[in-house]
Amino acid sequence: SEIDVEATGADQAVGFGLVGFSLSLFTYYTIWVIVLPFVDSDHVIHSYFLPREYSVILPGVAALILLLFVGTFIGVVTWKNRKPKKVD
Amino acid sequence: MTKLLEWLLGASLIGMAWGLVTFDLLDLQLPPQYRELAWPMPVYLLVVFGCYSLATVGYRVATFNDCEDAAKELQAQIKEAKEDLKKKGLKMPPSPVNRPLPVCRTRRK
Repeated sequence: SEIDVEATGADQAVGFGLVGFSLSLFTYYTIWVIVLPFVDSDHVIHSYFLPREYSVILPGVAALILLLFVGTFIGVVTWKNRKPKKVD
Repeated sequence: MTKLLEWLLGASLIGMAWGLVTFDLLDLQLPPQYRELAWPMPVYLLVVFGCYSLATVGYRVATFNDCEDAAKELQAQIKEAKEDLKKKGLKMPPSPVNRPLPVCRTRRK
């Protein structure tokens, strides 16, 4: 019979870390985009957030950086696996 | 209508509704807060989808279980099969020193 053991410590740390990061990002971004328009412009909470335009610019820049990383990774791996004359 | 057409139709309708609100094409005179809310919507939905995907992957990595018993049983069976084949004259390729433990398909306990 199979006895299931818990995932190893590192797996749990990474996994729950990702969950925590995603929740934090979601909460901050939701307050920024959804909640702030309905809050008086002289409320102190606005000082914790950049001007509204950045809520679109920053994800755009992040997506471009991500594409850059993925493209570079593919390029490096392809370059490392090149063989003279023939590529398998 | 195919699924693709359904999705494209739905996406177009939502896109048009968003465009109408953001660029005020019908002069609806909506309150400024709702216009402020509308224009980042496409990017917002993408970010939320990304967060949801990341959280799902993270959670499933954290709750994935190892099956030690099944792993040991499997390795014993592999050893047995190899010895049996060696007796019959088959040359075996060298096996890796640290064979990774197999993991269960089950997730939750």
